[in-house]
Amino acid sequence: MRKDLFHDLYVTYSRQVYSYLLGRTGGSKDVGADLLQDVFMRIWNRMEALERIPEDQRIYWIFSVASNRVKDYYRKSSNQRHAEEQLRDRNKGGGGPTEDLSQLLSGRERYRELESAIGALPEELRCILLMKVVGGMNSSRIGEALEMPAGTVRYKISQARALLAGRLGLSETKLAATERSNSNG
Amino acid sequence: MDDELMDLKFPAEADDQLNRLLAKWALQVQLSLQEEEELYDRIFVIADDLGYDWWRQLGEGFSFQTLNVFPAFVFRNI
Repeated sequence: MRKDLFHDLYVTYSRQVYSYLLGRTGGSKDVGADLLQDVFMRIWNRMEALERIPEDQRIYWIFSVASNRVKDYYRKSSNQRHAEEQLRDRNKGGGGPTEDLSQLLSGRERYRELESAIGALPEELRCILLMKVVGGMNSSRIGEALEMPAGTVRYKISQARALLAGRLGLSETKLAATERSNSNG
Repeated sequence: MDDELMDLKFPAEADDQLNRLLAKWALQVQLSLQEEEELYDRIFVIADDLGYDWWRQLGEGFSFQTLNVFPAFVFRNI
């Protein structure tokens, strides 16, 4: 019975939690998978507590477990700043906004650029964007998981997309331009 | 917030390109069904073994010296 409930939770939430972990830790599939396993082991060990939580509140509890696991990950492994510095270094060699748009979707290099650009996003924006893109969650669902109004989620998704588009040279939004001028001093 | 959202808008063509790029990238980083199933099975292999908390404490460098968890003979010859 408990195992059936756990299986249902896994089927419903594993992809969503994975996308959250991916977003929080910078986009490494291996790290995301390891953390996902840990999160669901913690959930399995706390099923008694989870059964007492009303169904509509379980999503927040599950993402709280995931959030705590990410904190442990940062504490134990190389710290977050170090990881972000690495991602920024990788991003430095990426193509600039003058790149030919006709080549946008071709080749692995473009994916690496995208990956670097995603990795260089502020953690919160990256996390929310990946919950939508990888986790397939809509704004309301993300809002429930993170206890955030859906409108705020939508705005942050727009922010993340604008920053990505700017970094990939897809468009020159005001936000990207502001960020670029700030980083240039 | 509406004004700010307007600031973030960019051309429809670029919007579509970004959508396609993100969708293709997402396919690469998503776990396959097989990976998800293997991960699920592993949870029970570990959970049925010594118990998750035991492994977690071990992994976090939990000091066993403060607990009397080993029989005395383990330390007799040290």
